[in-house]
Amino acid sequence: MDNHTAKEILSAYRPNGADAEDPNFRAALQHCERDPAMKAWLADQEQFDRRFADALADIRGPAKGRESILATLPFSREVTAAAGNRRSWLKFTALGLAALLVLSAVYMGSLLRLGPSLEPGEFALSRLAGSIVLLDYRASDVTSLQTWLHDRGAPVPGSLPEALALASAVGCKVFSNDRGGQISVLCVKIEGNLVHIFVFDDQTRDLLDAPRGQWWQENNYNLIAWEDNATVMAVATRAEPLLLPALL
Amino acid sequence: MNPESFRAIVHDWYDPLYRFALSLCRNPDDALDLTQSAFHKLAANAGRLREDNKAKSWLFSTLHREFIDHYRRSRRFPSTSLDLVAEPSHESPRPPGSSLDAADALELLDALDERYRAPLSLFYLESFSYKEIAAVLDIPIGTVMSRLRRAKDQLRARLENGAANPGESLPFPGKVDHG
Repeated sequence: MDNHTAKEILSAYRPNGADAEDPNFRAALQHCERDPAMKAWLADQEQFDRRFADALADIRGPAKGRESILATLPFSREVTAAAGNRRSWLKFTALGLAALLVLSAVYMGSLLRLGPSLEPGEFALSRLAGSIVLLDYRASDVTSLQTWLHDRGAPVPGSLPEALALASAVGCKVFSNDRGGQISVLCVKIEGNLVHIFVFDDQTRDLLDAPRGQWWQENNYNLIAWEDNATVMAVATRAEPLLLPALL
Repeated sequence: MNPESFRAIVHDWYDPLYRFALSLCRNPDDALDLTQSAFHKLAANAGRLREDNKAKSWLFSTLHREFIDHYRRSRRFPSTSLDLVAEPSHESPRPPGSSLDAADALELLDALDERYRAPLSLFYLESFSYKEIAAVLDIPIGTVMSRLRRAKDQLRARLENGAANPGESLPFPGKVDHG
């Protein structure tokens, strides 16, 4: 076996040891044991794989999605009962009906999916800030983010405090509800601290039921909301309280 | 399959399935649609699936097929539902020096050709052997191995070239360290 073949085979070798007994990997593993360079390559490969798998393992699906799926359990129970006696045409009919119900549930689920939109009082800005995993657009300056948001019809801040406007940008993201409302989030870094700037449109501004111009704390975030020419904006950051006055 | 085993399957595979869906379509809304649809189809076919341990492959194959049939060509304007707010991870912080986060990992995966992205995503779920990946994606075992090799080479090259610069990346919820 040559190094190229061994590397190709071992690219499928999982770093958690689940494949240790698989005979298809044995020869390639033995090849690595005999060759110090290959042994080092394998160790490095496993470290890389572990690092990547750990990073992806952080991702969790939304809890509401799981609840929505489990809500279909009564339908699956009917399917199970119907499947118990396949010889009876009555049971076949029941199976068909149950399947129809499930398909209806899927259709309704796709329409309603997660229930009605959030109402004021249910909305937590810190939770929205904490939910940001992927950005829709990345750029290193705030102006580029504003242009991108503007071109897509998403809410854009009319003006920003200087510290935020000149901050190093990371990217932005748009949230929407089923009533057509949108919230833009511009993510910037100030002195190594990540700062989320939220911009609400007319449809979403009432979600933010918080006093304007006063910092408050929520789930380890420091937050403040304000209005600028009828545009509601807010900031969420985990920066130390001492640094907060400099942001605005 | 009875309701209890269905519940157990949802418990075991909801997050990994969502993770796979997100790596394919990169849009949280679409990822949730794909995940829910796969479980609903499983419920609809519960009577036909004789062995519960086949559910895992069935779910991932179904989701992958649906992605190819309906989502691959329609990357709509990205927008995330306000109702869809991901749960922060509650696991212990990653060791110092491990700077790759979920957002970086997804960015890197997204840059890969789709032929490589699907097998690599399944591989990094860690519960899939190369044989299972071959079955889910309906490709030969040798193809799985060669695609994994090329995918990892591309990932490494992008990481080493700073394609996903951890310093500029967005910390994943619950893992923020402002030191």
